[in-house]
Amino acid sequence: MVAALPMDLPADHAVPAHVPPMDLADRDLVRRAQAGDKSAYDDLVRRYQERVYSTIYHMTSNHEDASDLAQDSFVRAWSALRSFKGDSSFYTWIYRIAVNRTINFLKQRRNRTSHLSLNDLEVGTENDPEMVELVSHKTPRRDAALSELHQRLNAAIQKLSEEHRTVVILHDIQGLPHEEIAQILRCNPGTVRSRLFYARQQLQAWLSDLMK
Amino acid sequence: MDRLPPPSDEFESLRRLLTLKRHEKPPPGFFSDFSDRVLSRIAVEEELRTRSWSTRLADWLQPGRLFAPANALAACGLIFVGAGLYLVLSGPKSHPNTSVVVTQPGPAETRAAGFSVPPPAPPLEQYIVIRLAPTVQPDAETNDIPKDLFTLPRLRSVQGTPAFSPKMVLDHRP
Repeated sequence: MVAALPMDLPADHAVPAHVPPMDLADRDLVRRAQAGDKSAYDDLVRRYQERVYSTIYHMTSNHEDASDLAQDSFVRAWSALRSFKGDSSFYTWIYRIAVNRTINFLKQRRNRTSHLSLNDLEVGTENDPEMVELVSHKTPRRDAALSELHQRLNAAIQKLSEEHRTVVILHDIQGLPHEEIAQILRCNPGTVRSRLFYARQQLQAWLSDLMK
Repeated sequence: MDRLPPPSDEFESLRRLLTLKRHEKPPPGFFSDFSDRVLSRIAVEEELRTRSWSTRLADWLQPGRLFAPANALAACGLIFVGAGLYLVLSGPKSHPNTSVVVTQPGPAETRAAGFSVPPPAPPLEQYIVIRLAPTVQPDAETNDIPKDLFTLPRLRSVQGTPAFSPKMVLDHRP
């Protein structure tokens, strides 16, 4: 069974759906995968593929890059699976691999033109209550087309440094708690909060006209 | 360094704006074969990794791979030697007029190098006389051409200059 995605969580909070140190099902799957059972690893991949892909996608704003990096993250995780001691959850561990891999990729890509792909915007966005509210009730935003809104949003997120972008994506978009993000990034929760505050300030300044 | 988080409503609008990103999804069906692609890549990488260093070294030391540059050099050398021999041996024989040309005065370095300079083209009149006279021999027994058709007096009478006849050139050019 696939775990509930952060995307499905209520919008009013970045939930902490607590992620236990290691889910029992995960523990069993990891143990079997460490013994070379590829079907167990296949289950692990299916379990976390959407969250890993989604995080990478928001960091890169490019579907092809996200697809390649997500696959690469799972391949690397398989190679390093024997060294996984279970100190953290598999979920945290695979996130850490994916985020580090993506940050390295972004640093290499920094000089390239970033490609913002908005073609994958889900049609359901237009029916989202928050979206409807944003574009209808708040007068200044009424005229902003959905695509333009996403474009502005993506462009603003891409302007953040990799570290700040990662924190915003993991917390405000993926819904991970500060402690979980701190484990993924191997820093303390205070640093996560600090980065989040700074990143939000920057985003707010860049997107102020959309939020008045 | 650590700063307290801001009041929750300070960034409320921004946070709600960011939640819109959750609606961005990959193309439909993207995840249906995602794990298969991952496992395929794992299989490829495992195969590459399991090849021992000795196997890779043996592959690298394959005779064909080792001697490829030497073979290419030998082939090039053979081509050059063959072309040189051809020029040296067949060059003079293919130009029967060489002996005539070499005896003519010319640049000293050209003669020393053994190269021949083609003789200057003879005047058209001379060409006709020299080349046609010995080669065109009307056979009285097989042709009905009059015997005196190719005689010089007749040619001269046509053009007024020795051995020039455009018609002859067209009809009997070798």
